[in-house]
Amino acid sequence: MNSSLIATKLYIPRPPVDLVSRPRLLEKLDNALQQGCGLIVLSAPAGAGKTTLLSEWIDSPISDKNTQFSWISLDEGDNDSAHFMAYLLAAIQTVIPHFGESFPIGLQSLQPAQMEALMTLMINELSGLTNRLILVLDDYHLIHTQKVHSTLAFLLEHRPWNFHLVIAARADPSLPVALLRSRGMMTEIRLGDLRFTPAETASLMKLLLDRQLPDDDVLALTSRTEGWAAGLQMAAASMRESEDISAFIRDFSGSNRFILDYLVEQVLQQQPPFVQEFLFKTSILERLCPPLCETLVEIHLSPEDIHSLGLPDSLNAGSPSSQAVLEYLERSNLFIVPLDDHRCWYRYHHLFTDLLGQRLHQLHPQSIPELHCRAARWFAQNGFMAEAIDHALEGKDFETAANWVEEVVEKTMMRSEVVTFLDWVERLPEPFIKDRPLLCINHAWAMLLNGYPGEMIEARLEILDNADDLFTGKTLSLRGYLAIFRGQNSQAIAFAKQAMELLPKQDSFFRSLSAVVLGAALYSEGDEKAGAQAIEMAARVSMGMGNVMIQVIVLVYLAELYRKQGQLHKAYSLYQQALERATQEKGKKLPIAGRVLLGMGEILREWNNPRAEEVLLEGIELSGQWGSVSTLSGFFSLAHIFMAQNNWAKANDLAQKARQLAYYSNITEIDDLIVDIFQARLWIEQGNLSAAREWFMTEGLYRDIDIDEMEKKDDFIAYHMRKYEYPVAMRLWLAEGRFIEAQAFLEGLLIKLEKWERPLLVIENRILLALALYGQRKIEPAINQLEIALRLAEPEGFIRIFLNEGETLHALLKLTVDKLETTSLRVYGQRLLQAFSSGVIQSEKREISEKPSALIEPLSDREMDVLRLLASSLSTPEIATELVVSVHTVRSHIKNIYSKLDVHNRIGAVERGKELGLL
Amino acid sequence: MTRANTLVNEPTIYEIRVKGRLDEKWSEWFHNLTIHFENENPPVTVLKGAIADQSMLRSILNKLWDLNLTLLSVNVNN
Repeated sequence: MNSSLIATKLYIPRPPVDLVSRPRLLEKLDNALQQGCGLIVLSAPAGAGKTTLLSEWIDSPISDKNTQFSWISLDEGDNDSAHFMAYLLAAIQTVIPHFGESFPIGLQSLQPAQMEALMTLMINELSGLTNRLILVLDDYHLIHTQKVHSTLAFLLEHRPWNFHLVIAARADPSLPVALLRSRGMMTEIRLGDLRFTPAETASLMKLLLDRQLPDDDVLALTSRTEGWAAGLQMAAASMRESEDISAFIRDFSGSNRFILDYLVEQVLQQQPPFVQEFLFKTSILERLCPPLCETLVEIHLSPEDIHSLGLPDSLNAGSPSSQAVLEYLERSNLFIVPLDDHRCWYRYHHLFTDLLGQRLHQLHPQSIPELHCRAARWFAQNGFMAEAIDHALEGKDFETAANWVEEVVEKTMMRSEVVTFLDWVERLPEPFIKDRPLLCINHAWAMLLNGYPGEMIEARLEILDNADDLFTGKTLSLRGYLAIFRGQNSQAIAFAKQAMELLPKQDSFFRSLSAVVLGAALYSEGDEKAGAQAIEMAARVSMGMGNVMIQVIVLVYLAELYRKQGQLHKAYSLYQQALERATQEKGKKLPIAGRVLLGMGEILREWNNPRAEEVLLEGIELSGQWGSVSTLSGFFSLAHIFMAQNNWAKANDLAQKARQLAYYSNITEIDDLIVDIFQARLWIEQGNLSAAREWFMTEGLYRDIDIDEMEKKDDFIAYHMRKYEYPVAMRLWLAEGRFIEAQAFLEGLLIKLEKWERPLLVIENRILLALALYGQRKIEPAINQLEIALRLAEPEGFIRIFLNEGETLHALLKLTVDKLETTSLRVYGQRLLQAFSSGVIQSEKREISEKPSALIEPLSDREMDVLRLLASSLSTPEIATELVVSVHTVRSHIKNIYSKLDVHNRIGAVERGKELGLL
Repeated sequence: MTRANTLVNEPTIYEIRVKGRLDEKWSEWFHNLTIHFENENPPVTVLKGAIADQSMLRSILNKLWDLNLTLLSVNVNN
């Protein structure tokens, strides 16, 4: 387990010795599991018996052998979602030892944006388990950050059938429970359920007091405490020494005093003074262990004390007494909860901590800071830095706290525990921060990550202007990052360039951050080439960082840039690199590979490669696990394949799916518009021109299109989307025979697109222009336009972009090919004609022989070894001997090789290996 | 910040009613609100005083909740 985690938080509390079994509630819990409820919520105030009920349930003998439980006792620190995820993983590892070990994302370098990706990996691994896993999150009311809530909501939404979440909290959790409730996917146990019935009260009293109470007393107690477990327990503790129990109950029932005040006083009064002192002073602790208690309170037990506490005589006077007191408290049921099985760590019941704290405040307010400082020192000496810092801050020893925060800040940020760090800094007064540049720079970065107002970040960075030169580069890269958020691209570019000059090579984190800033700023300024270069550099720098997820994301981002620019080969090879990194040893692909496959599938589709469909389907499946909007593009690519096969039912079905996906995602309006555009295209292809016409009319794209709209940066949607709407509108005009209008518009559009360097769109619109001219019987100009398109498209091997325009283009292409003078272009044209007539193009030998790794999934080194031996005359057992592995292992390699090469036997594998240049 | 927000963040006198009788010694625990027993049957206690802003009000309500006190009403006293 990560050494910064506190093991006691994962301890499943044992049911107390004096347990009143609650079969009616256990049954409810068991039923919830049987009905497949994903979520069980126990929502009731402190001391209502939530934790005890759960510990009884977990301990109960009827629990299915195949059911395993993990537990996290949450605290304030878990509001940091990285921290929370670390505990989530550790909790599962308590029952599934190697869980998550193969995850390529280390928690040490977890970025906030990767939380969902990590959650997806967890969900995948969970769904592969044969056992049922129940995760209990106790004290969930302490969680108030949206990030943790949404991480859990994501888990619930995608939970595998064998995973159940149990949440115990004082208030209803901020999760989308209404939906789960209405689907019957959630079971609730509320205060009303947890209240002790008179019969349960009677059993509890019998256990605690060792006697049967008269019915009247039981009813009075139940009614005075309203069946509140903590109240009943305290009442029992007060009555234990009382001679006249009925008189106590009469008094208690007759009093209208706040029940806790009344009972705690009763309980405390019965304790010897040194136990009271112990309780008050240690109440500042979230968790306590004997050596820690000793630093806060000195107790020397006399033999009388030992006797009065009923402690074993073997305990010598003067021996470590905190242990004895803690054990006494545990035995007397005085609101202490053991946190492990070997009597090391304990905590007080939360309710009791508050009450003791309030008494301490009243009795010795001046002693509180000193107690915190002592605790801080103990925690620091024992390596619990987070708790040390918390106590130092509570004790107002800011100098020490700031020094400690400075010591751990880099590790804390590396673990992405941004919120934890922010909490510390925000509790430090300004004078203790401003002279510590390391705190300042990290504070600024943490605020940026958490979306703080720009002025606050700016103020923090200004302080750094006077700091060591060492920090100038870092400061500049953060200024650049901030400028991007403010839409000040030119400033961002200047900052990032300066930062990159100043930052030393080894500062790879700030260097790759600067490069991403530069790339993003250049790109949104319209300088796509330079933007791509910068992102390429970010990719190079991030490669050295050992963070797979960052590498894959940067590669995919870069590949998408190239794909949009029509540089298919370059994009494809980047996708291949990304796929390699997103594929685990056993060939299992990470969910991020979904996005990679969608990009590859789209390119394969453009190349008219029959494997496109299969690749897209896998990509859709994987990216669906993210619940991601990026699946949209996969639906469209696939739908285009079906359209090409005249399979309208399937294409329409996908349009419908895309519509739903866009509807449920509310990140931007753009996705809904993309679906509309696709739908319009689908209508046109199916000949439903009136539907398409109606849509374009409402979009204002039917007549007199204002072409300048696509350049208006202040109209976000127009600026980003018009260029995709125009070609579809043109197809409608062509279908309606409005050739002259279309020609005029396309000529204007092409001037702009060429200026923008949008080769992909240029090719598409050139083809449309050729058709507009052809429609007017302007044969020569039409041929010229198509030739330009062919020349642009030839180097990257575009095929479908021509084929999709159907028979009219087929006819025009026949006329064009004869006129082509360049040989290579004529060959290309003839290949297109062949594709037109056969529907599917023959496999591109040239393509493959130049690119030996044209495999979707490359062979691993070991598989290559096996493949080489398959080409020899060795038998399988002989191959095993040769490689010093078992026959079984060789067989599984062979199986993988066959599936990766898409062959069924040894001869096929060897042939395909040769074709691909692998042999 | 909008005008409405500024208003909400000005200190305001609140009266919070809880079920039962709460001792005056809890005053400090509840940001020095005055604690006063209002009604015997059914027993009601009133916590009253200036509350700086909404987050302070929230922390007080949380503390009441943590102590398992039943909240009856929260009023702004003009």
